[in-house]
Amino acid sequence: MKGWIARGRLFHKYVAVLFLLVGGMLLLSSVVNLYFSYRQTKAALIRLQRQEALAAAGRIEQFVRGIEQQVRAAMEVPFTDAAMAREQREIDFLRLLRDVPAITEIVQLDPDGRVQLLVSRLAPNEIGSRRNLSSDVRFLKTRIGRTSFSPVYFRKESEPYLTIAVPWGEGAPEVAAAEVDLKAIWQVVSQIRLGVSGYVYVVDQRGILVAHPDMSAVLQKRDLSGLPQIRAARAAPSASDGVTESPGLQGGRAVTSYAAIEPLGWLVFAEQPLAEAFAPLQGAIVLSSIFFVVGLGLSVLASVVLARRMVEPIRGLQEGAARIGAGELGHRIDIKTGDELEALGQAFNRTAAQLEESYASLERKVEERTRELAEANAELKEALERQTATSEILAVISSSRTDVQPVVDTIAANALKLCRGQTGGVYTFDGELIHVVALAGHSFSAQVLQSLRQTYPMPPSRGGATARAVMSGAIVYIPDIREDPEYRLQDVAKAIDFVSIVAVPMLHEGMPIGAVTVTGRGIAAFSQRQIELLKTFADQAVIAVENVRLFTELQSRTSKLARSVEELQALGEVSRAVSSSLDLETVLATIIARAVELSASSFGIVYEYDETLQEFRNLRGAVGLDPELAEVLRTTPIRLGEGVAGRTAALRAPFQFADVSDEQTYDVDLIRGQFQQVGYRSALGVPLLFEQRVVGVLVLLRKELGSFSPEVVNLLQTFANQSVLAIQNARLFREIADKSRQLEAASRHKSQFLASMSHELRTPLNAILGFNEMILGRVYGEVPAALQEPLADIQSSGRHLLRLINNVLDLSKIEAGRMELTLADYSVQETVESVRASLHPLAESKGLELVTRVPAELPLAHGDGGRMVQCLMNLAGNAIKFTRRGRVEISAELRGDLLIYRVADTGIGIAKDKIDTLFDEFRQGDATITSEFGGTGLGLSITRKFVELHKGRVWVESELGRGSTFFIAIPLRLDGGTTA
Amino acid sequence: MSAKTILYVEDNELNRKMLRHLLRGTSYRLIEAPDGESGMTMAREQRPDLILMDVQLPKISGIEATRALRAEPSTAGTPIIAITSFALSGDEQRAKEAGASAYLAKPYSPFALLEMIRRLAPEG
Repeated sequence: MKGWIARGRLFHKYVAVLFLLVGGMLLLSSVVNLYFSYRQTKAALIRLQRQEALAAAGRIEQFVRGIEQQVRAAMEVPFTDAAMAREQREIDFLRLLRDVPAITEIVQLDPDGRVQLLVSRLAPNEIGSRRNLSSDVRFLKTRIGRTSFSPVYFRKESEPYLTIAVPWGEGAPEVAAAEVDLKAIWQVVSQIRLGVSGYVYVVDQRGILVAHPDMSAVLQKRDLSGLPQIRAARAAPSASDGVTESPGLQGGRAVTSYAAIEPLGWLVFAEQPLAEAFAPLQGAIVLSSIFFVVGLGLSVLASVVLARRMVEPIRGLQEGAARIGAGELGHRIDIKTGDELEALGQAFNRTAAQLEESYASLERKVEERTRELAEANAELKEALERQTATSEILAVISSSRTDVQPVVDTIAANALKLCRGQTGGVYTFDGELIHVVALAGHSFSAQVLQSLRQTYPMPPSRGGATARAVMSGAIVYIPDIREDPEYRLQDVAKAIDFVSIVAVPMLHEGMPIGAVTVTGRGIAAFSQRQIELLKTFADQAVIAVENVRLFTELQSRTSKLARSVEELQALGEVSRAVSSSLDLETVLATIIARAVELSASSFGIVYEYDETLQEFRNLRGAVGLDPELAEVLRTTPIRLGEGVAGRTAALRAPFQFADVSDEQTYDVDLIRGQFQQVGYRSALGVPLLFEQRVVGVLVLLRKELGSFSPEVVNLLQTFANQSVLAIQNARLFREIADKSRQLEAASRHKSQFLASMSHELRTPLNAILGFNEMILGRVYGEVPAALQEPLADIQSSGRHLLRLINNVLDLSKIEAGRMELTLADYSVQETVESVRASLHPLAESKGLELVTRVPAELPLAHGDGGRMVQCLMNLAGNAIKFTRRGRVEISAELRGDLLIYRVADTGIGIAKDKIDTLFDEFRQGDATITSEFGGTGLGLSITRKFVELHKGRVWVESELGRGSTFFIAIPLRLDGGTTA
Repeated sequence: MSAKTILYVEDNELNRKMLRHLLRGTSYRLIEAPDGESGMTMAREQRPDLILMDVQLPKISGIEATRALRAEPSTAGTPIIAITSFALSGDEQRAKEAGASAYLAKPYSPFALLEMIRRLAPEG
């Protein structure tokens, strides 16, 4: 059992638990067992004791009752005679005495308590002694009619006796009392044996021992009333199932049960010593204890074993888990309990196995990773180097845009460094030869430099790596030049001391423009990555070279552009001048100024050409002119073919004079002299042509010799055209101005004429009509009847003339465009109504119906209401004029934004062929009609003019003989407002 | 009640005669001026109750004279009838702008003129 302590808490727990469990169970069962045994025993005991007690009680009772009965029987005498009775009784009594040795004495008392008869073994008999025993307890007690039993008394201090007093007879009974020797009872009692040392004893109603197997105990007259069992029994005499543990009479503990002797009030106790009583139990107890102990021991064992069996695997698990957890992933838990623990163990094992695997794979992965990282790191370092180199180169490129040298130097240096080579070099190819432009290396001896100088420049060939690269346009990598059959530069290689070489061509748009070459000391000294790097460098070199080239090109282009811009600006200015200023002088001055500037001349001049005179005069605009020369030029006419201007004009093309001071070339002596004086040498003339005709010449003079560049000449031609435009514009403008003035004058005259005409014509008419009216108005007194008619005729003629004049003037005004409409809002209803009102008398006089029809809701019109009245008056008046009978209707309606007037009549109508010319001036249907109907023939044309001024239309629908309807359609509102 | 004075500024003798005859039957007193200048002087001096101004006048135009008369406090309130010749549109407008109280176009009905006179300067 060693190792108990070594095993842990679980074990102890299990052991304890199991032990407790099993032990507890055992204990329990033992206890229960014992208990039940006890009870059983007790019950048996009770039964037994009770039986004995009862038996004893019964016998004693029987004994006593027997005596009682015998006594009573003895009293029974068949004799009524007292004496005889007494005699008989005596006999009976003696017999009784003889028969029952227990009875010691019998006495008969008469109802008064006097002794009638006494028979005794011990004492002398008494017959009729009449001793008064009325106060004797034997007498008293029976008074109640029942047999009384006296308490036990002792004779001679050692003999227990009992008195049984039996009442006899009705009424006042006689008493027969017997003294009973209780030895018999003792005999009874002493015969009873309970078990080995169990016995029965009797106790009287006082609790005094009256019978006991051991007589001496009785003779002691022990009062046992104090004993608990006595007390209990006396308390409940009839209780029968009590077995009490009580002090034994002979000491010790005993088990007692009792039975009551009712009549005597005595109690019979059956007593058995405890030990003896429960002797059977002992065995059981012992057995139980043995079993218990054994059982306990077994249980301990069992529990230990069980616990061990349980705990072991768990410990195994625990240990195993601990070890696995600690890292011993190879450890496997070995549990073969064939139950869940085994399963758990397996699970652990599986987990451990998995962990092992994981770890293993993890370790592998980590290793891999580390390797990868290391690799990556190395790569990164390399890349960084490359990057640094590249950015360095780029920095140089961007900082020196115009100079390639620093760039190629940097490239060469970096190529050398990063390829860990012997030398690094940059070469250029100009299309024919390869040149060295940069070389980097640790040191170059004179010998090396010499050999290089001898080799380069060299044409592309396959003999050298660089040459081969340039020739083929591909990367050339020679791991060992000694192994390369085509390699020719071995002495260079020896001088520099290299065996491997890589040359990367610099390609610009696919064409090689150089190469970057690195040499290495060892064989195959260059990795793919390094070659890649060289390619990058080569590209950068290309960029650098290109940059420089582009930059120089850009510069030249920029300067060219600047020039063009200048020229364009000048041109722009000139065009603007031409289009904005009509002042010829200003324009020409601008043109010449720009021309002089752009041609880098000293001064310029424009001549106007007079075609008729065939000579140049009138120099217009001169810039930078010497005043003396100006004067000369102004005053000296140049003829066609002479001088710069003349020659140019004759040629109709730009003409250059190389040297105007040369007599041979320049023929206008006067001017030549001046030129010489001022110092002008070369001249350019540009003709100003307008529609093939020479209008003038632009001349530019320079103080330097030499020709004007074609670009300048071109430019100047453009200027020349501009000048022409300017001149023409000026001319046109002059003409327009003149014409305008003329028109203006004409218009003024016309208005003047109209005004004065109007006034002149109307003034006399005013007199004619006025006076006539006054005469007719009786200002000059009564008018003779005969004069009425002629005067009326004069009036109407005058009115007619007036109308004619008005019409003519109206027409003229309209023609002259002097007619203006007075625009205002006016009511169509009112317009039509005023026409109707004016013409009503006339219509009535002709018997014609004149109706109007204008919708009430017609909105206000906007136009010249007065003129509309005039038009409607004209049309309606005509309608009335040309209608013999019937009606004339004037109506107006609105159609959208158009106002339509209608004047319809039932007159003579108009022939189709006359309608076209109806609205022309001075036409009327017919000369005859004119005379019959009157009218000026002007009305319709004027109406049409007015309607047209109103932006409207007038037309007629007519049928000869059926009547006519004239329409005027005008916008309701001339101000653009809608009818809304 | 004194008779109202009418000043007629007109260069045409016939027209003046016509008005003279016309006014014969009335209580109006007529004074005449042949041109604008004298017209203005007469207006200032004689303070007529009504001025008839012909627009078509030599030297100063009727419009100008009207304007001038309107500007002077003594004649500013005098009703002026401008007599236009209806030649060019705008005559009426100009007359109104100059300050004419009314206008009449030639040729006019003498009775129409009389009515206008009576309205602007009742006979009393």
